[in-house]
Amino acid sequence: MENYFLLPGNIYLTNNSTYIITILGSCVAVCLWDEETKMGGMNHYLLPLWNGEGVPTPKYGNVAIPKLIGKFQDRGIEPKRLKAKIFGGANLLSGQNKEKISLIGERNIEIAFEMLEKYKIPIISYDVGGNTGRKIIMNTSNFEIRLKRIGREMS
Amino acid sequence: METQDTELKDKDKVIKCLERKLKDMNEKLLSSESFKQSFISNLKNEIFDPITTIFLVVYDIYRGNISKEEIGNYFEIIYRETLDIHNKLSNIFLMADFESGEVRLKSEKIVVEEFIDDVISLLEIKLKEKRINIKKIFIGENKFFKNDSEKLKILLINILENSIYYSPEESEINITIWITDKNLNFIITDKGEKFDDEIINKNYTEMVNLMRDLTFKGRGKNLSFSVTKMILDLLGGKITVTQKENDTVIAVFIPELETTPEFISTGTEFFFEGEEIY
Repeated sequence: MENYFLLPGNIYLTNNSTYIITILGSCVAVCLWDEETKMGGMNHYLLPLWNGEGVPTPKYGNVAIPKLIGKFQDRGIEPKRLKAKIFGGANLLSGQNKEKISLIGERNIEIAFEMLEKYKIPIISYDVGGNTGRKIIMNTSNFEIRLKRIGREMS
Repeated sequence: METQDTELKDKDKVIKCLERKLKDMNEKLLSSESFKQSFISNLKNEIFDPITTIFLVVYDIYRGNISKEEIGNYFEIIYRETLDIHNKLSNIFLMADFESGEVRLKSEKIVVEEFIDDVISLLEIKLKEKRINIKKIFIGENKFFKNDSEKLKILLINILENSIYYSPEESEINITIWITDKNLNFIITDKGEKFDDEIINKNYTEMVNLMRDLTFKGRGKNLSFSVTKMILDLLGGKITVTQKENDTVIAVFIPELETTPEFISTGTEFFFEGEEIY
């Protein structure tokens, strides 16, 4: 098995048996998998929406989710074949910024659910919200996701 | 009758709102189309023209049209144009990696002073052209820094190229470097054209559009600066720009990249306590 550490704002897709690892705070990771080819992919986005002002990178949910789906389509896998799991969107801060960050986490989660519904991709499990960070490890050979809850200081 | 009137008024409001949105959308499309056109034209100027220059120079050398005395100047032209294309393509390809979400980080041990000298040597020809002197001051005894040298090189080249471009001829650029608590700090001071006040106030927090970056030439608003900002975001660094009398002072802070992220995740952690399976 190979290991791949997914950085924030990035996307990774493979059909080799790989552990895709990432660490989430208010960010969200959408994990997609095609059972037939064992092709698995993950994104890790920081903010829900690209507002048209900056560069449309996968830092934004409404860019990262279609891009990940698009990478499957480039390999001939249509969205109807995919299954999804969603993680992250925690509220890690306390004090003045709490509301603002909490809103980011919530909106990150909402956008994942909204967009996957749009593409009609079934969400088979998720662990979102709360106030702790998460470390997740996705096994692309069987779509098993191992999750560990971690401290508050993550992104 | 009254209810019908209210309904009509509501419908009218909705239509007007939709019209306004359509108008906004149209304006954005028109502006995007105009960006696309200038982007292509600019890309041609920035990439194709230097390649044509190199081609013509090499052709003259190949045909033996150049005297032995002149050949050194011709090689200088080739070197300058190639370096320029290389730097532009490095930025474009890195931006493409950012856009597609495929950026990788590699942690390496960097000998900072040698690294800075290496970057300065790559810009030697531009410094020579404008007769600009670079004064380097290295403070402290800590010589090593761990980070992704490729990304750092692009970042430093971008900042220094910008300083050279906007500095007057026969001026001086100072670069002071030091490492504190494993973090890299450097301050670049030049006598160049001042940054747009708007840019200073925003402190580079706003990312600009790739197309606008390639087509806009103002200081702090071009592609190299957007890439610089994205690299700093990726590495968790900071940039601040201040203007003091005739100097523009650019201060950069970059934290150490502990180890390659891939390395952090070893097999042993797959059996951690308290894990949940989804």
